[in-house]
Amino acid sequence: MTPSELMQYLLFSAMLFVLGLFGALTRRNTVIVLLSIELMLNAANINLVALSRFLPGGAENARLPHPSLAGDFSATLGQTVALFTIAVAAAEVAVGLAALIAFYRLKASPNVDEMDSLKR
Amino acid sequence: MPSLYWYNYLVVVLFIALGIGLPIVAFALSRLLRPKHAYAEKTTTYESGAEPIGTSWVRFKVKYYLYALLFLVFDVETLFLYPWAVAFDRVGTFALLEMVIFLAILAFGLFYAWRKDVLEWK
Amino acid sequence: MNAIWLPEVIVLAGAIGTLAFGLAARRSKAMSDLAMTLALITVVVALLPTVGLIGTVEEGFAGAFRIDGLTLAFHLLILIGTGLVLLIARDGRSDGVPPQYLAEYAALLLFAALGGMLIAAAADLLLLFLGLELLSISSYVLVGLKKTHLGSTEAAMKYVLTGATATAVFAFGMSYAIGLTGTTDVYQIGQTMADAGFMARYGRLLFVAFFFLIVGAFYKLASVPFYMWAPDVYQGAPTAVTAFLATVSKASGMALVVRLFLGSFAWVAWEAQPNVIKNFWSESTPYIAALSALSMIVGNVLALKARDVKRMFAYSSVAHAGYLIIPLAAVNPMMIDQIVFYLLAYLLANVGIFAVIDQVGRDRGSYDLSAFSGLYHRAPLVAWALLLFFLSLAGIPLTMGFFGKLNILLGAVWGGHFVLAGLLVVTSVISYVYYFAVLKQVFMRPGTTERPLAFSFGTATVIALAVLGTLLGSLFPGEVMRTMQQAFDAVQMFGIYQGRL
Repeated sequence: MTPSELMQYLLFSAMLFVLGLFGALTRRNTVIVLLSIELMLNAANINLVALSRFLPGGAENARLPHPSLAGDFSATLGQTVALFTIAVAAAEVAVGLAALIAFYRLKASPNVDEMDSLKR
Repeated sequence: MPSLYWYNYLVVVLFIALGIGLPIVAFALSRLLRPKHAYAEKTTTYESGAEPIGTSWVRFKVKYYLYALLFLVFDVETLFLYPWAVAFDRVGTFALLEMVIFLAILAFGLFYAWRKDVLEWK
Repeated sequence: MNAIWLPEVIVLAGAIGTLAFGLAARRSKAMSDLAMTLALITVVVALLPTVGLIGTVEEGFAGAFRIDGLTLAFHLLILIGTGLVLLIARDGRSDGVPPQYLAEYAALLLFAALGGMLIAAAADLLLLFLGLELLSISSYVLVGLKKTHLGSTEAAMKYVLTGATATAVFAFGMSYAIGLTGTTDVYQIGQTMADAGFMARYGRLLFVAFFFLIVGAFYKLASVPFYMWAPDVYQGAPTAVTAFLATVSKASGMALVVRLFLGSFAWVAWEAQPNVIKNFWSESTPYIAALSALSMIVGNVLALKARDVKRMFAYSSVAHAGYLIIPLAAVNPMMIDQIVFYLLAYLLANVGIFAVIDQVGRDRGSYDLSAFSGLYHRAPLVAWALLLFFLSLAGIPLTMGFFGKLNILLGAVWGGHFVLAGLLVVTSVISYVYYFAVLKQVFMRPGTTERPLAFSFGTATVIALAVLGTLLGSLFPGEVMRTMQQAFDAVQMFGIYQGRL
């Protein structure tokens, strides 16, 4: 992967992140907000995979705390972290949807702007 | 070996051709062989089933979402099993022990959901 | 090798055990009440190895898990805080939480505490992230535990949406930091960044990474501008959970910021142009100082007009987040000790106050300021305890909170941040207004009822322990500080710079 190709991936993930953030901040429907948050997390995953593909073992060279872990581990570090991010995202969305179901049962609305019962 | 390489693609092409060809042949044959007397009942969507009532846009039972949530969580946890399985011969006994603990906690989660009647269809 | 992971394992086993106990006892009401007690025992048992580990500096799991002074200090803060919160929750279970969820309530508090402990012990960005998530996701559920109560579910919904966004921002920053340095180890990231020429090449992206990571961490602290969730969530959550968010969750957020900022970023220096040396600390402090100043001002000013006591304490916690960030902006040799001492003072006073709020709120069915009127006539002893907590929180001289603020003030002056030092004093004076608004209700307003307010055992224990701790800190601040410095040597955190351990 050449630097310019890496730049394409980084730009793509940055755009994905901004799109997600925009959606998370402006959409009314809670499910779409959760989807937007997924977009942001996936932008992080693309970053991780692209960077670790381009720079195996980091921008300079492999510097692991324990040499026994070096080798092909360092080249897949980004992918490994991405796996954890995916798992975390799933757990988060599961709780988000569960909270939405509880809320929907009480108010029969999935909209963020109708969550206004708490004031002063 | 380029010939073997292209041979693999040949199999794919063959399967695609078969996948498209078989239904065409089957439909064409049945069109040729079947008797043709159409009447009103013959043209309905479910000839021998219940008539659909209302539109397909109906509310689903909230239970479906609970199953989906449960599935989602357990489904995603398997993604830790794949890297472990691939690297199994190098990571050794310690990783096996770690995976057993991980699976034990997961199994407790499933047991918990079962005892809490989440898996009951009500 | 010591069993450095023992406290975490005990808490994890206790949490799973509590859940299992809840399953076994779900048919009987009396048995399921024991779940909270089981969780409480877990916390006490986990405290023993934590105390036994004092003085240890050791790493495990390939350097990802690190026990040092900073870790142990935050472990103790988190465990003590969780124990006190569990005592409040044990008595406050009539506070709208459905009785069949008591075991989950206790177990989730333990899981959240485990998340905080992992944050404090992590020297690895990935483990920090996972700890943060364990804490966050457990807190989301805890906030929404009152399933049939609109305010609670609404608060949970808001907390999930804003919290998940903050998590995504944190993960995005993390992806740059890990991808560019090729390691997840917090200290290794710092070392890689310090290499010659590294910052010149990737400096911009690393600043982006730092900015995003700090956003994610400051969200947990509820500092300006990431505080909007706090008032609603604090108001909607069950009172014990509010106490948890205000104390344990904030302490964990502080541990995250300290480890991340001081571990990887703060000390990195590089040659920006020929013969111009810049360092991360001096580049980033203006922004951190601005966030701290804004938190102090916004939190204290917004608290002035709050009528709901829990909402008021949400704004007050924003202001306290501002005080807690000052030492990070004004880097000085004692910064971690200042933070830990202040957190201890804040934790004791806050837990005590929330114990009273819980009892009064359940008695009067309202968290409005007026619910506190005439409390002095209903429960004189508790009113005096409340006075002590408020004085400590407000920082009136010769209380523990005062010494905490004094330490921070001296540190700010030492670090040359006179504006922050001045703001600390001015905003503390502003905070007197709303703290005394509550005290005025307690002592000077006649209540609608003179009926004595009985305090249940757990709540009374929490108040007594908080009073004891605050008095100890008020009477012997020097000794407490010195003991703390000896037991939890903050310099151990930087052992990396003398050959890692």
